[in-house]
Amino acid sequence: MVQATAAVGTRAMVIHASFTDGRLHLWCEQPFEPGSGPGDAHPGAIRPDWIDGEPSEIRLRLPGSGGAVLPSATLALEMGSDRPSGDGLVEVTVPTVSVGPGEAGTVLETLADRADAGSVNGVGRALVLGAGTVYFDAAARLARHLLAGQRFVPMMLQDEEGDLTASWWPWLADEATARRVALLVGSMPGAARAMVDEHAHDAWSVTMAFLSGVTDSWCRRTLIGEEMNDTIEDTDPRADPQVAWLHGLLSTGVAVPAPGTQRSEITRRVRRWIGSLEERGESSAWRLGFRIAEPLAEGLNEDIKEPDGSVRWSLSFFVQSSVDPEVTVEAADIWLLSRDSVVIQGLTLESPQELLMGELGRASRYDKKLEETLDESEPIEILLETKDAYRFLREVRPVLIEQGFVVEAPAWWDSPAGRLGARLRIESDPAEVLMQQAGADAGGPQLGLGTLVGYHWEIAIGDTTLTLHEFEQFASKSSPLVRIGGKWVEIRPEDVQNAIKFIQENPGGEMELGEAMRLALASDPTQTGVAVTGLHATGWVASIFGGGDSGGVALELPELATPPLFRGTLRPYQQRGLSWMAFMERFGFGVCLADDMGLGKTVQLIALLQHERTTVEPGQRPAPTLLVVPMSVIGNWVKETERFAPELDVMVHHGPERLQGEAFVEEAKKHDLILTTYALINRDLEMLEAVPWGRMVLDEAQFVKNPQAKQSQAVRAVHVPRRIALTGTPVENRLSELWSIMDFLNPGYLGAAGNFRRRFSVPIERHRDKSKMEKLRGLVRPFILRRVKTDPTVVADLPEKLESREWCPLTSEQAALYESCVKRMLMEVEQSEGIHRRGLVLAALIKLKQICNHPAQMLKDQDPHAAAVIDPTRSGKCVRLLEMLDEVLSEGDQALIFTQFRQMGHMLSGMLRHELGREILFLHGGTPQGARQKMIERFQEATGKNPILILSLKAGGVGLNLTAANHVFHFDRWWNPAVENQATDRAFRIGQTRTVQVHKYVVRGTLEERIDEMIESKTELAENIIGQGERWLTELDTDQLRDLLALRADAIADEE
Amino acid sequence: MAKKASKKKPDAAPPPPPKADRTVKVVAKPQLSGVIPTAPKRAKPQVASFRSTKKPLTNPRRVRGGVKTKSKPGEAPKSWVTQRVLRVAEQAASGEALREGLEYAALGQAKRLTVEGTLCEAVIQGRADKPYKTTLGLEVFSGPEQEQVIGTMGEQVRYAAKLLAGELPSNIEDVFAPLGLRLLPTEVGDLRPACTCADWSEESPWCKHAVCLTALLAERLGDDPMLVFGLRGMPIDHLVEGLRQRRVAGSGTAGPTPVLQPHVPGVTDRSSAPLDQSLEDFWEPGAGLLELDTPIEPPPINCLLLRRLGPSPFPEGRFPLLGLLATCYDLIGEKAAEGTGSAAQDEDDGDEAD
Repeated sequence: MVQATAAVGTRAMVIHASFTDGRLHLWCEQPFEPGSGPGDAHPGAIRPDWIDGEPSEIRLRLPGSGGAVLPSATLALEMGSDRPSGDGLVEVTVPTVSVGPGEAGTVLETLADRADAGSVNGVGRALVLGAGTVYFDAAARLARHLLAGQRFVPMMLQDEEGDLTASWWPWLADEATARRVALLVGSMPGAARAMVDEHAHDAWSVTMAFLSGVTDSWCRRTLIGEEMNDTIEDTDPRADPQVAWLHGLLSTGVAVPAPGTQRSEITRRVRRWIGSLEERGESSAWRLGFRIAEPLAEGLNEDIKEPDGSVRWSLSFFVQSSVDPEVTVEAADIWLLSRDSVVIQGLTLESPQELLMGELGRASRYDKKLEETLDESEPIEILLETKDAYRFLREVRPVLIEQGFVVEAPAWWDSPAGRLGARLRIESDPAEVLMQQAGADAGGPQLGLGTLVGYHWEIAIGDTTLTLHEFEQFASKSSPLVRIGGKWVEIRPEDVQNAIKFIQENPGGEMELGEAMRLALASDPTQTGVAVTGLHATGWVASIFGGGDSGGVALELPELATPPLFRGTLRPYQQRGLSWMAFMERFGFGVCLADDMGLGKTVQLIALLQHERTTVEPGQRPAPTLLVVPMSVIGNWVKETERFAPELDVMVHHGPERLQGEAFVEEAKKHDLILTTYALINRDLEMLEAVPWGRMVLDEAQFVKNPQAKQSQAVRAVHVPRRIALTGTPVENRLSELWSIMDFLNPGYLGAAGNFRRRFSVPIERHRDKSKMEKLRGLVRPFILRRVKTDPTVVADLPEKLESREWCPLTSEQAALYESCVKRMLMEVEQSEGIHRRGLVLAALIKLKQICNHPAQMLKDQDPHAAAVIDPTRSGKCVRLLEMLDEVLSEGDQALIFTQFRQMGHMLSGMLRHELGREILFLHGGTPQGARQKMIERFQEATGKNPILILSLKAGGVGLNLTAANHVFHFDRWWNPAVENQATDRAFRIGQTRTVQVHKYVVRGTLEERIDEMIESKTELAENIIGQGERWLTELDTDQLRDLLALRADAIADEE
Repeated sequence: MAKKASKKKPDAAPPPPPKADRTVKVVAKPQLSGVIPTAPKRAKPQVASFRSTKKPLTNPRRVRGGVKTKSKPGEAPKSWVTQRVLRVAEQAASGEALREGLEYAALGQAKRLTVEGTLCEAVIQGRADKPYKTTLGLEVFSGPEQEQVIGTMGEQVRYAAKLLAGELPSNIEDVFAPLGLRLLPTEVGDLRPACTCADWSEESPWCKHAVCLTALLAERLGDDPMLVFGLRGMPIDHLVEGLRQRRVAGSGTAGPTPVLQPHVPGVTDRSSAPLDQSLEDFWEPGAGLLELDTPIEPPPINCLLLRRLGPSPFPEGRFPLLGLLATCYDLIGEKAAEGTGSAAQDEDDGDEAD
């Protein structure tokens, strides 16, 4: 037991699940040698004793090879190895902990949380969910969805002896539920039905057994907890079959104590009763429809009016084709049709009159009013008083719709705008006024979400606003359907009381804007007691959040020109981004620029800094900006600012030589932009806090995704007036990341982390609750600007190919290796000549390239074919590659990665499998033709299941068409543009419809940078030498070599 | 209003009679059936029983304890099976024979009704001293035809599941039609009446006794539609056994099974591939899980399913079953919406304390 507990924290383990005999069995798989276990015991399986349950043992049929069970594909990915290909199934025994269906949901949810938490911490995943566990977790959340939606029925079961038992049963046959169940069952992996015992394990029966087990134990536990069986305590089950049934449903014992003589009658009745839920009418081709129409407006023109007793609503009947809902026949016409069969717009309608009557009869089961129509010989419609119309709309309509009828209601009935609710009204000054003030004062008015704004609540129905007095009139009305402003609206009596109470308790006044936004856009009706229908704002609040109900980015931004000093051209969407950031900053809001990778977030921020300089007096300098970045992109920032804004004073604060204390503070004040890393922000927090910053920017802001991490807390601790976050990941879809970034930008806006998790993360991430997602989007949308490559406005601005260099640092391990390698080589070449010298130089060059890739490649300290995977943090390139691939994958894109070393390809594929938890394709010169073709097909297929393909350059050079990729990474370089372009063109070919982004990796301060500069300079020398491959290098004299190869100081990524 | 009222009563249908007059149905029926083929559906609630009919149009010798059609007040139209079978008589018999035959059936003139195996026979008392013996013949399926039927049904799990649960799916004819067969007698030629009365002849076999027997058979089939398999020469045991053998490895459990196994479209009509053919994605859940949304929200209206279920299956019970179940639905739904709690709750507490 101790051993197992220790293992959880230290090595990867996969937790698997199976369901049989009413219990969920869980077992853990750890790395193992195939065929090493005793007997038929699974050699890698251990019992997860840390889960509360009963120790048990099950037999499984798992994929194996040559009679020995193989590691699961999940574990193989975790270990970075190839997908194991089995030749059949092997029966094994695994030790399990089993839990009952009542506990299964909670246990699975906890496991899922734990697996998530592991990856968030960035320490690798300690616990990985196996396919079966993922499946039953999904099934458990479906079960809870059904329970909360009351989609279950009391059921009667019968065993072979005829004895009856009672059970709560999930009702799955309705359309929406059946769609969900089909998705679930259709997704069941073999792993979830691999049990070997006396039960059959096909996807449906296993799933049904699980869902019904969970449903019954949930219901039973709730009812026992509420002591519902007290209600039938004094009754005698033997006297009354329904009491007998209730005994089975409400208590712990499930038996239905009914005498044998009654059994067949009881089961027949229950079967028929529940079976009525399945009735969809006689004809599957045609359905009966009802149309409820509001009374003609005549005599109802007053603004607010309770309809008098004479008003009648018409409920008319029609028949609608299920094949083409456009084809309908009104009841009035049906009575004129032939009784046998007619063809309407090519669709045959058999016995229309019979169908109409039969279906009316069926519908009358659910409504007394409809029963009356059966008295008529040729019913066409019935007329309803207002209160009956309301009852029909509210209570009968949902029932009829679910029983397979069509019920058309007036449009306003289903529109949330037509409902009664409270609307928040906020008054603020016009934006222009504040903008002028802001211009005069460089510090700007600090508004932001903490600003107090005047507000009051209004009662609103649709567009109409009512006074409390007007509204109170309704309280006394009996009819829930009234006319207001010429429109019918629904006013539920309970809503009226709640709204009056709400208004009385919230008279208005001042509150913080952030609080107002939360109330207006994401309030919880169960807490307010009344639906909050939105925001009605004026002035600058309206220009930022929109004056209407939905929030959203204000459309009319004051457009800024490209700053005069900017060395380049901003694309139109980049200009919008600049304008937006400047505008939002003026009002004190922290914002997140979340454009897709490649759209130029860096230049937009550089332009913002330059623009800021134009707003201050000549000779003055705006307060400095602190830019926090991951180590891997410091080089990029330095290069880009040099290129686009050489006049900006940039200071890099990292490395052991960095300035400390007062010296740092003084120096920082003399610069425009101070770059530092996430690693240092916590360590140097004290002195960072001493600088009077103008703004703080987080690049790759997903680095603060874990709110508890030290660096996340540190970035929030530094006091700055303005905050910006840059990220290329779709931040709205990763909620812990979203919370953390928003809390940095606008502290407190999304509430405390725990509260946020309860209100948004769990419903959205676990249950994919779309309405909650919409609410959250409404809240954060004003603060996030995200343009994707496929935006029509962006696409028009993009070239077909975007080339960029990624400037990567060396780790200190790489730097030490690099320097000693250069030193030894220079020493050796000095003592040799001719072919021998050339050989030495070439060998050293290859070594240096390998060191730049990953120390392990040169040291050969790890066998690339072994299961162990390389550690990406030992290589600056690997770290950057992972960061970028994360964005590529989150955007649903596909990538080619070229390397000239086959061995590096092996290492990369292992590392990426492990880190990304995905299958990675690797194509090299040794790949057989058949496998090569299959790999290309897998990469090109539309499912996007294999989004990453690594190629060793020679293999990828010719004849391949890989247009599924829109990212091309050159992990190491040939230093021959022609060869590289040929490789790039695999993706950039006929059939490519998107912009292809080419990322060329260059390690700063090394020979890679020097040679890249030479190629870029396009000098005659470069033209000449490139044509000859790498041979020219061997011709250089020792001094030239030293100059070319020596490591420059800024190359090292030393973060200790 | 006035316009609509006139539209609803096209030919001179009699005005609603005073409630005391129980003969209304008998009067109305033949007339209505001329207009609409589904007279029985319009069963007026006030027609409680024909026994109390004071002046029947026919005047047969009354039978004590005879077999008669049920006509419960206020009940929705009879089962679709009943309707379809009854239509045969409505289409085949003359107006007079139909009216009188239906009345015989309602009065209970049948002394005995036998629906057993392929035999459908009744002894019906008319005006004469001696009752008549009436039979209805159905085409019997041949052996090969039966095998075909079982084969087709076995392939489609939803039919099998329904039949095994004792239900006749309303689209059952979809199985038979492609084989050129029909299960239920729904066309005039499907039933061949024979009767010992004087009105009967080979040329016009639809005497009132044949109508009466058809009405009784229709209702019997409505109650137990599985009988029709017997009438087609295909005993239900044989059918069920055949289906069981063909059924894909179902739940396989020896434990109790629900009295109703509903058809879930897209699920119960498919079977999963054998495990050893699922090696490719053995360890990979399908992409469908990513689309599976499971919002925790209440139904559009409280106790929606219970409302759809309608009146209690035990109407004679004194205990308020539906009321109690409604409370159960509310409690369970609310509790589930609150959440499982423990895991999430603990973490929250940690957060707040931070």
